[in-house]
Amino acid sequence: MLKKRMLRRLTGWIVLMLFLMTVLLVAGCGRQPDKSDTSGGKEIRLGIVPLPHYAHMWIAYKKGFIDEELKKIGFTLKWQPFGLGPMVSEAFAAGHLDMGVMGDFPAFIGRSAGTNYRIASIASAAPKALALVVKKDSSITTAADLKGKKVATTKAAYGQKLLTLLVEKEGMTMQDIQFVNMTMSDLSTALVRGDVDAGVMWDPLLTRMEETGEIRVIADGTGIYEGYAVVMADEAMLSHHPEAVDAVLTAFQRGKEYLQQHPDESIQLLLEDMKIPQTQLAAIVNKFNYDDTITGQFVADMKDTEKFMESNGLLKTGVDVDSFIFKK
Amino acid sequence: MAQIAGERTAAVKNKGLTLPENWKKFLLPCVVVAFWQGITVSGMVKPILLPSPCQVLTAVGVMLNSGELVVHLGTSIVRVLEGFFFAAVLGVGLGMALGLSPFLFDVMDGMIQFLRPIPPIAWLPLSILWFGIEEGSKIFIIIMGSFFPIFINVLDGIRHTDYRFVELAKVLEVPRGKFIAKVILPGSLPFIIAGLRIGLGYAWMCVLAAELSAGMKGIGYMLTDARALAQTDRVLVGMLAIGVVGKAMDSILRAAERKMIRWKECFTGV
Repeated sequence: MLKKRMLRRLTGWIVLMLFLMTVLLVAGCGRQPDKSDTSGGKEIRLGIVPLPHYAHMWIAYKKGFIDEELKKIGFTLKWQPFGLGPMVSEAFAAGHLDMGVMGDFPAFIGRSAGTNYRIASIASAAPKALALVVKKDSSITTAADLKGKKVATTKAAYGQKLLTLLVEKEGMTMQDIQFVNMTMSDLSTALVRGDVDAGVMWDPLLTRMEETGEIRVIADGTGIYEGYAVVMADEAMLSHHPEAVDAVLTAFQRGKEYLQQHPDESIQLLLEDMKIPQTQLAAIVNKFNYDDTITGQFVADMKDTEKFMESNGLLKTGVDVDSFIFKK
Repeated sequence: MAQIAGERTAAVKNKGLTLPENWKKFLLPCVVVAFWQGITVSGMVKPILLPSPCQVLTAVGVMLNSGELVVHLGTSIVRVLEGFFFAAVLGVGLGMALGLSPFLFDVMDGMIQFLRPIPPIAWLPLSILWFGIEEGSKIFIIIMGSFFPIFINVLDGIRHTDYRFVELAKVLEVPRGKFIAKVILPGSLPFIIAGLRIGLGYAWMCVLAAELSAGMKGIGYMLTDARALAQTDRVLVGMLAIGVVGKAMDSILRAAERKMIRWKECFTGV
């Protein structure tokens, strides 16, 4: 009798719990993205990373260019900083962003996994901002010397492509080296300790380590790989409010012009968020090209990246580059 | 008593259907999986956010077939066992030493309590600097994570030894070795086992943190890799595998506890 009552009570609790879970889930799934009207306007949620790759965007934000451009069409900005590009991609997948920036690699990975966004423009390109490096006193002088050596970089990031291209240029394959997956912060420690023989590193760490005299650059992306970062926009935003995406992109280009015309003031503006010493930040920003024009070369490079990622098992399914890049 | 036990283990018959003896254990998991399958097939959530149980099962099959899951899980199990072994030896040893020696307690406890609140993951940069990117740093993180719960429980266990037995041993002038073996150890054993169980759980959490940094093997690496490639089904496979192995290891410790502490009567509800 007692047992039956207990069982009934337990079943009751389970049903209540499931009911609550369902209500929460349906409420969560059914919730529309936070494009709530604010003072009669609409909101555009933009995910950004505090990196020199996006310096012109930070300037556009700090100088109020984005707000100005969006105001013209009745939109407001929700500026959402993230630690890493792949997190921006995850936020897109969760439906929390309308626009965002990331490297070309996470952009393709997200699209392949079903995230409904497209490349709206180029954020930046900087072949000199990523490089194959070794410890200063290393005997390695060219990529050909990597044979059998322990080489590290972050898997599924654009450094993997540069490393592969450099290795293949020397007539080897990735099987000829001992590849180690590692985050950028750990790579600097591993190189200095001598745990790895070489690594592909990118800015801002690259310039920082070069300046301390700990590392030596063997080769960078010049003539091999541009090192693109891209601006992504949600499919719904592109379909229903392309003018809002345009307004943000216009503001970014105003930021780029301001950076070119007022370099010193721009660096001062960036210091607060980038947390990089002033001289290093100026040197890094100078490596970047912030032109957003989608050229035939860019499309070809994206096709090459897609092919590279697919053949290296980084994509679940292939991505049609032509439709992935948004054309007005 | 025996009747109640008999009732609890007897097969449950319900309108001609015979349910397994421990059917209640499977009730909630079955409901959760059914609910999970329901919301995924309804199209309410995208697979990148939550793949269906079928997709996860398929991923399990693929990863078992390729040997990927076994390699990663095997690597992590070895790391957990190595780190846990050192943590257990250190935790039980130091716990006993500090519990039995007021002098050692006064000298060391302050430092140990100062180190205790530091999260194991905070040691990651230093562990890589000190022990490199290979096994050393990973084992160190596991030790840092699982040592403290073991140590604290052993210390507490000694403090909870029945003082009547301690006084009796003093009166009878029982030699120190025998006193530890016959009074302290049996008295604190339930706490030691509890500490080991908690420590083992922490070891699993720490192996994940340790494997996030560098390397190409281990369940933590597998999870990071799957996350970087937006393969949520593989993330779930990794989580399930950790849960299954962690539960299995805990069950082994519980079985050992039942064998070693036969006198312990547990309250199992009314």
